[in-house]
Amino acid sequence: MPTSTLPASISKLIDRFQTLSDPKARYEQLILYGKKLPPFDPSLKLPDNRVSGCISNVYLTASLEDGQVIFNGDSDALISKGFLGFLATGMNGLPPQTILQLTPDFVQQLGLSVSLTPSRANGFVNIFQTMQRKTMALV
Amino acid sequence: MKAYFVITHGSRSPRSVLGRKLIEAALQAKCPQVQVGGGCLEGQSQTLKEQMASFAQTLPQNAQIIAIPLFLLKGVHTQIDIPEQIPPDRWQLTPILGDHPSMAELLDSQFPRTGERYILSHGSNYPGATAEFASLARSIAAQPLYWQGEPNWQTCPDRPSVSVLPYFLAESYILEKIRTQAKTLNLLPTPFVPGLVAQMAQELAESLE
Repeated sequence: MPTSTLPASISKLIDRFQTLSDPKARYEQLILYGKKLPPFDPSLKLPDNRVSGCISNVYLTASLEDGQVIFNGDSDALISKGFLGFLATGMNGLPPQTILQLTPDFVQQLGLSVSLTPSRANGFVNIFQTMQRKTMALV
Repeated sequence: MKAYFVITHGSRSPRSVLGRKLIEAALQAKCPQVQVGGGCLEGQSQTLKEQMASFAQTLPQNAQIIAIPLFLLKGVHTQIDIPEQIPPDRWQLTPILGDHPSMAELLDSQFPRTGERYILSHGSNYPGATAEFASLARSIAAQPLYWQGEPNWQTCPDRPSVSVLPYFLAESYILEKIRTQAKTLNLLPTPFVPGLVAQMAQELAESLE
């Protein structure tokens, strides 16, 4: 998907990644998004909120506030938490229909060595799937 | 001009049409230059052929239309029913969703790191359909199970180490029934959220080009 057809909130994040030429800096940027996640209530670390398939433990919730989806979550792994933070930053505040129209391949535009195909190694697709699944449950 | 027409099984439940509409919307957002539509094999007032004809009428005469069957097994629907209804002119048919080259990797990625793996399919009497599915399951060290057929889902051991992945396009009456009947069985969510299916559908369509 060309960046122009993505929601502005996601395009902005991608643009920020693309200004970083060093892959190490891009990973640091990703990890930073994980660190920016608000504290996650440990009592929400329930099986229903767990991202299936991820090697690391990733939990996330979705709620609807004034017609906008709000994600939050936590992970014990830096990269997974970074993807979670990145996706939450890009998708929080969007209406459910916009989130359900996203396809996960925009991750390729981040310049990280993330495979487009679902991979146990990165968990990106698993996190994305869980976010869309939880969004579907809200509508 | 190019157009994509996604085909799902369909049912009398409005939820099945809604699921297809979400996939169509995601595919349309991903491919703004392509006209996207869709239809169901069953549960509609129009036959699939009529739904395809209605869609084609909205397009220019020279439009190339690619039909994408969002089916997971090579059963009678995908081997006979759908091909029979595809008009001979300007329509092309992609492989089914179950034939997507990343399918095994996708299914593999859904399971917990450890434990016993089972994959639950609807099942089919069509020759070769279940053998191909069983081969897919075994390629990722999982055992096949069927809603209809053997080994039947009811024979699945119910212990904490077991995870069962539904090989169904969407949450459905069948999965609800299993979740109700086997409350302690670890039945995972279906992997096929709209955005992922849309991406796979586009890749199948582009594989024809």
